[in-house]
Amino acid sequence: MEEKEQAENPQLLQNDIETFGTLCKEMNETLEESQEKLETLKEKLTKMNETNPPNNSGSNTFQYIDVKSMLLLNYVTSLQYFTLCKAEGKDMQEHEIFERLSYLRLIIEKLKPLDKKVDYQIEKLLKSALTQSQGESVLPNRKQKEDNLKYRPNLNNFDSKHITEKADQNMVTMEGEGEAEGEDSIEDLSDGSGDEKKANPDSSDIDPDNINSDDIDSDALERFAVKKQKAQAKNKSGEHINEEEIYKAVTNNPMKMVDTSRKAQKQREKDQNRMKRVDLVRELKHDMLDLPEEVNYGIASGNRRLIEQEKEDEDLEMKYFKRISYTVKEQKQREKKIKRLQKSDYSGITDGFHDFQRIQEFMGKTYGGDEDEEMQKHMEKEKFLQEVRSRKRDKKSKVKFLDEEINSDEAGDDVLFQKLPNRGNKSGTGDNKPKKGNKKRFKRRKN
Amino acid sequence: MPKEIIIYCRKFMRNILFNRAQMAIEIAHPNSRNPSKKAIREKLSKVYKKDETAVVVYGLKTQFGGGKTTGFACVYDDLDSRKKYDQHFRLIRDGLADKVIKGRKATKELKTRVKKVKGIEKAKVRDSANKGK
Repeated sequence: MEEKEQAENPQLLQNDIETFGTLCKEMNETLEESQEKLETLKEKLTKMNETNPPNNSGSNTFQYIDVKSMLLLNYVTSLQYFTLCKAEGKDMQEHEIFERLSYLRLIIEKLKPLDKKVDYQIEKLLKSALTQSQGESVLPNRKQKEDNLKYRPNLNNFDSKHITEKADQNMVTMEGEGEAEGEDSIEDLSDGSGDEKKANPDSSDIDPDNINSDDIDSDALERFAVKKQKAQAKNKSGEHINEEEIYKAVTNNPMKMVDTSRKAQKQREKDQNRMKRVDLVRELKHDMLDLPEEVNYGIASGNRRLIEQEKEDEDLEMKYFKRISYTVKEQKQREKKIKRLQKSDYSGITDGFHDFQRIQEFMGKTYGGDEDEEMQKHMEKEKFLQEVRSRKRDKKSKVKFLDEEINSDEAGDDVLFQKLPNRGNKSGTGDNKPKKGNKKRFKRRKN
Repeated sequence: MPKEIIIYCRKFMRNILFNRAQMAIEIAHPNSRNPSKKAIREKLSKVYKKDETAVVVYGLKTQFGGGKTTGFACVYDDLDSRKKYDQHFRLIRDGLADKVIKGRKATKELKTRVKKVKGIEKAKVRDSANKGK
């Protein structure tokens, strides 16, 4: 095989040899450079880890760099092995090394996008390490603030409130892969990529100490990462709003709704004004209070309206030289009023009776505003009614009730009896049930 | 028994537009019944020196108990001005104008005819109906 190749393609071999030589030279040079750089990096990073507490971001990058370096080492060594074999002249068609090489190459290419993201951090770390080594006179707080502005915007530094679910997932995928690499062994990644979607969301949370590569699921990783972020944010942010500062409305004393509707007020005022006109009330006022009396001769309460109207009519007539005529309805009303006045000529006695009713109505009224008032009046009403009903139930008391009505002087002209069951018996007998016909009459009288 | 009537005129006003003088009257007639309008007119015409027919009295009301009545009066300059300006029913009362008595149905028919038409023609329709009668 080798003799055949040499005999057939001597020129190709020469070309290969030349390229081989140049490549070897290049490799040597680059190796030297990289060696130097790596040494410096390692020194600075170890220094950083000792001086400052290890940030999560820093540790992640450190792990990543570790992993990457190992990967590259493996790849380079396998390459060298391959060249060795070729130099010795072995048959490389079906060799085990190819699997290894391809596998490692795959991984490296998958990591290239991550490389970009990590590059920035590495540069910043190097710069800060250099600056720290050079000058440490500046105050740490100020420096931190200034440095933060110089840095690229980083979502991790936001408050926990601003983190949305989508943002969480995006960040988590980054962190998850990084953590997976640092903690998992390299062999599980190819198997894990296919199984990520089948992972159970109900798996238990992760402890950073007890990690087995077999037990980790991607979703659990995500949750763990989110938790960490939020804890970070809380610890970092000094502008944590206390619950005391947030305003909370007082809920101990419920305010009563003040009904400012004018309707109820108006009604109340109206009724009060009405009561002022009642003669009884006026007399009571004179008795109770020491105000000076106002005397109006000749005008009783019922007449006043009529008289006023008459005056008005006269004025109008004189003005327009016309006699005023009323409609039939109005005429009837007027006649009714006049009749009423003519009937009750003893104005002092009977007017008072009417006024009693009015006063009672007024006392029992409620205007929808105060519930307490309503309740009170309701209770009073019920009491009174109960008494009346209890009287009615007792047969003996019934008779007394009727007798009292008959004998009382308070009952004036308004109380008329057409037929009574037993008029003569003042003491009262057993058969005093009113007949059906009488019952109806009694009911009418009440109305 | 002589019937004494004393007339007091109050709220006197001279109405030039209608050629009249309008006033409110208070008549005192003790111990006698309500005076008739004729008697009142005679008295007023003497006082204001106008024709009897040119005086109008209306709206008489006696007070309760008798002896006093209140009313209104208009004293026109001439009969002609009175015919011109006075209200129709007052003229009828005094016999200076005639009351038009149409049947109930006739008036209603006229009304419907008038309703169908608009504007000036309503007057024309009325005139034609009246002329027909």
